[in-house]
Parts: sequence; C-alpha cells; structure tokens
Amino acid sequence: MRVEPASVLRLNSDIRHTRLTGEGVILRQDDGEILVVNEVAIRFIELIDGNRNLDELADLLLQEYEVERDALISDLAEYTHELLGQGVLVQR
Amino acid sequence: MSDFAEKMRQTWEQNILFSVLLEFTYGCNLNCAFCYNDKTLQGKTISRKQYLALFQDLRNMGVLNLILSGGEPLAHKDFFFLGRRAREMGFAIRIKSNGHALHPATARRLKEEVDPFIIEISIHGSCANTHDRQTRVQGSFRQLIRNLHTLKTLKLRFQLNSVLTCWNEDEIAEMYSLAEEFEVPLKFDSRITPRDNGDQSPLKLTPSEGGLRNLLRIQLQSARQMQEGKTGNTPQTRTYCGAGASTVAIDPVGNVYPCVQWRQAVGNLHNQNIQQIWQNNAALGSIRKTNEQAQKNMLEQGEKAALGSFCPGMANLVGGDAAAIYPSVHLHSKLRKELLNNTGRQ
Ligand code: SF4
Repeated sequence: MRVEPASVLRLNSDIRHTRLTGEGVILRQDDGEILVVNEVAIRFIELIDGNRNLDELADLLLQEYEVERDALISDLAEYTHELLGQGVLVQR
Repeated sequence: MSDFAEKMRQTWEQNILFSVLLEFTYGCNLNCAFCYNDKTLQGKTISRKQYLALFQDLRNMGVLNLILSGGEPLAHKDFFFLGRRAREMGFAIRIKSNGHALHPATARRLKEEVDPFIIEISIHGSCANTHDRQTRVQGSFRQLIRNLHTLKTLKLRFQLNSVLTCWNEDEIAEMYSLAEEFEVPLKFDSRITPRDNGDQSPLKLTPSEGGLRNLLRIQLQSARQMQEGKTGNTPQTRTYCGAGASTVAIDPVGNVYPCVQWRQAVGNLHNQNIQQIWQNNAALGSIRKTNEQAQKNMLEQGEKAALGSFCPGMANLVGGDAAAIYPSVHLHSKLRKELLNNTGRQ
C-alpha cells in the first residue's frame, strides 16, 4: 500500500479515540484493541476528516508544531502506513 | 503494566472522568424480582436537549466510554436518537440491556445507527424455569436465546451478565456452557443489593455459602487458565476503585452519583452542568476521601480480606459507611483462600 502526499485518509468506522493525560487513546471496536499514542499522533488522528490528504494534514500540523516539513512528511507517511496496516486508517 | 492500564491508573489518581453511565429510564419490559431500581423516583426527567448538552460537555472533558443503561435503555423514547448522536460524537458505547427487545429489526437498527462497542445482556439461569421465574415474564428465556442468535448473526459484540441468586446457584456450570456456545464471556455478580430506595426484599434471593463457593471455584479455574503466561501485579492506587474518580452514573432525573452502586448524589444536571459538578465539588471531594479511606481499610485487613472483593457503594448501602468493610468481604476472602489451598494441594 503506497502512501503519497496526495493520499486522502479517513478513520475506519470502528475507531473511537480521546486524549488522556497528554497522550491519545484509540479503541478499535472490532477487536477491542486499545492503542496508546503520543500527542502528535493523536493530533494527526483528530485532524483526519475523510477529505484532507496527507499533504494538507502535514500543513495543519506544521502550524502547531515546530518541525521540518520534509521530516514531518516522511514520518507521517511511515506512521500512516503503520496505521493502515493496523486497520485504524483507510485510504480513500 | 500495559500502556492502557497505566492510563487507567492515571484517571483514578488524577480524577479524570473517563466513563459515564446513563440510566436513561427505569421503565422496563421485564419485571425482575431483585431489580434494584427505585421505581418510585420522583423528579423531572432529563430532556433530549439536556442529554445533547451533556454529551458535548463529556466529549469536551475527554470522556470515551458512555454506558447506556436503565431499567431497559431501549424503553426510553429517544433511545435511538440519543444513541445515534452519541455515536456521531465519537463515544465508545456500551449498552446494558435485558435483551428482550433485541429482535432482528431492532438489533439491525442498533448496529446500523448506534454501532455499540458491546452489549451487556442479563441472563438469570440456564433454563426457562429459572430465568422466567426471575424476570416474571413467561417466555422471556426463549425470546432471549432467539435474540442472542440474532446478535451473533449480525456480528454485534455482546457478553452475558448474571447475578448469583439462590435460584440459579445450581446452574452456574450450565450457564457458563451456554455462554461458551455463543462464544461470549459470562460475568457473575455475587452481590445482591437492597433496592436504591432502601427496600431490603431483594436480599431474600441471596445465594447460599455453597452456591458462592461453587461460583468462586469455577471462576478460580478459569482465572487460572487465563493467567497462564501472564505476569505482573495489579498496580497500587490511592483509591479503592474508580467511583467518583474516573466514573459517574446519572439517573433519569439528573442526579449524579460516583458510581451506579454508590447512590450518594453529588449534584443534579438540572442545577449545574457536568463540568461544574466535576470541578471543586465538596460532595465529590468527600466521596474521593472516603474511597481512599476504603482502600486503607482494605489494606489494613491484611490476610482477612486480601482475597475478598469490596465495593464502597455496597458498603454505603448496607451500613451507611462506604469505607466500612462488611462481612461478606471476609466470607469471600475465606472461601477463595480455602479453594486456593485445596487446588494447591491437588
Ligand atoms: S467497587 Fe463498587 S463503588 Fe467502586 S466502581 Fe465498583 S461498583 Fe462502583
């Protein structure tokens, strides 16, 4: 599964999430698995609305966190790949 | 400790609301002999608009778990409307139901519109005689089994809950077998409580010591199987449980309690919103202190209560002091210890 800057992402419909003491808690309802993720990761999940592509999501994150654009895009692509594999995200 | 267990520990330690149980209505399509709900409860019920405002506040506070309960929650006129909104707002929804109304059309609607994480369904025996005796509705067992098959077909996740009584204590093994047939967990509660209005009559169904021993024996066996390969201890926390620290329960007229068992109101949604009730609330502060005291009291009991399960809400109901250790804690601990010693010798 290739993840491109133009890839549009949405959350799988069984995903529920919240923030807890500075981190994110993600529940996959289908198998009852719970993931605990860091602050940037939960912010990324919160910004996914089914319309924005990876590039646009990166732009939004760049407004909130001081990081290099290229490094962020590459980290996001890798993380997105992982979340797609875990069934948290779906590529539209 | 897993990352999530550590998160849960933090919610208790830092008083972060994470799970909220809503008693939508005390209306019900069954008539259980030991139902704890106070059917004479007076007051103005919470409106649709108030529930929607509550949902928004809860999401703003970071609450993830929303438990829809009753009575029978599906008997609330706005159940599907509210369930749908709760889903859209991103809650992980648990439903506590007697399962009687979950026939195919309703179950399908539930899946499509509310998409609950899990449905907890009450079962009272392994056969129609026992189950229907408890629900006081003829045919309710047959209907329930039919509905469980429907849930299975629709891939709606569910578990079975039961209360141990002197009526079903001889059917424990059969009830576990029934749960196995559906490949779902069965959770027993061995505490029968007085009704929330103080009526002691449900206590007539209290199980015998033999029945309790039997349940603990079966639970111990399955706990052993599950523990195999697992390591680590339960973390030590300041409070005995999450009541008033990470959970609250709200009755149909807006009273807010630390937990569904601990019926000491700390506020009412007609007077304040949930954020106001949660912050700087003297009544809630005192509940949290009592919960800490309960933890200390349990630890002080040492050996005598080490294997017993205590519930501050139950303590409050039976003796008016939520931190006071009540006799059945010692009985549970003694029986568990005997069973452990016996199985250890085998
Ligand atoms: S132990 Fe009792 S008071 Fe505490 S959360 Fe459980 S049911 Fe509620």
